[in-house]
Amino acid sequence: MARRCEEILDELVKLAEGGEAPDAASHLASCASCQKRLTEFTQILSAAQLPVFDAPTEVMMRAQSIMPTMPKRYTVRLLASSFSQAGARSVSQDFQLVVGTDETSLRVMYLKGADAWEVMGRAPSEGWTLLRDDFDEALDESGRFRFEAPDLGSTRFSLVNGEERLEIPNAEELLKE
Amino acid sequence: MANLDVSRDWDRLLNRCRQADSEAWNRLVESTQALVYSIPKRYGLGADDAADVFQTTFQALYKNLDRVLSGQALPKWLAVTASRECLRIKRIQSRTVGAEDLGLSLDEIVANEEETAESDAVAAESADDVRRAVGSLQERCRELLTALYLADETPYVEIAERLGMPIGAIGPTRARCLDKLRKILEQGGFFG
Repeated sequence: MARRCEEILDELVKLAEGGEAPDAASHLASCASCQKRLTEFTQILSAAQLPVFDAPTEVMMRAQSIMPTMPKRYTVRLLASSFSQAGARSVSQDFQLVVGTDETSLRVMYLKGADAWEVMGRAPSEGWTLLRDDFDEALDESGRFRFEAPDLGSTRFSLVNGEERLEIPNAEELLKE
Repeated sequence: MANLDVSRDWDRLLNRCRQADSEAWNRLVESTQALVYSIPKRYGLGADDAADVFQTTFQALYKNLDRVLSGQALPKWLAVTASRECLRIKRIQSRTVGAEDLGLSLDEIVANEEETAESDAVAAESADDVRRAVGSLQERCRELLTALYLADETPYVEIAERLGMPIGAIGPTRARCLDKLRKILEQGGFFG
């Protein structure tokens, strides 16, 4: 019986395609396994008949834009500073840090005021926005930024440009590195 | 059905989408676009309406990412959502025939539509499953079955020439390939 089942495989497909296969009729009538296979072939070919259409690229891209693109996030590390690490914990005067990733770097100045620290610097290129806990500010063509913080522990900020987000930890954390 | 490997991929993508991973979302849209876009086209909707159905379906998915429980449930969910939207558009387009003209209450119309959407979704999912399964076959079988059953009708002579096989070999080869396809679909639970 098993051999005969294999022999009529082609006939089963012909039947599933809507053709005729008289030679297979007697075997099929008595073989539940081939009847099942015929039903399954018919199901497959019926499903295959439904036309499939690819969405035009612009339609697909519109749907893809439903989820906002999240910029890649990098936390910068300390690359250099204007003083030795030995004095880092007792910072009481102006200093500069160079922070960055493998691909980009920026210089940040921390200026001691009477009752606050002024943080100044320049973004790596055009088109960046400065983000702080309580505000965000699109930077001008020069990419310069400036803000005040009550202490060095509150100097954390981010720079985003749609593709990247640079996280700059507060100066205390940077100086611990 | 959604074969097991694809379901697992969709599970991973769904999880990443729930974490607002836009790259995963892009891949999810890309891998289900034909399933969704084919539905309005099969309903005979024009390009603009088909694009609207597509967008509405994915907006609904985006809003309901937490409610689509698994990758396995995803294709059915998308297909039902798209079918419902198609039926809604068709209903609006044929407003000249009111519910009272058909002797049906609004509830009955909605119930009928829901039933239609379900069965159309099952058909759409099956068509998608078959195409994915064909895609997982080895090259020769994949090309032969695509030429015979999935592409526009092509004469045997042309298929034989393209695949470099004698015409007489097409019949038996396609039977063996179809049987391989049947086994793949069976493993994926296609036949229920």
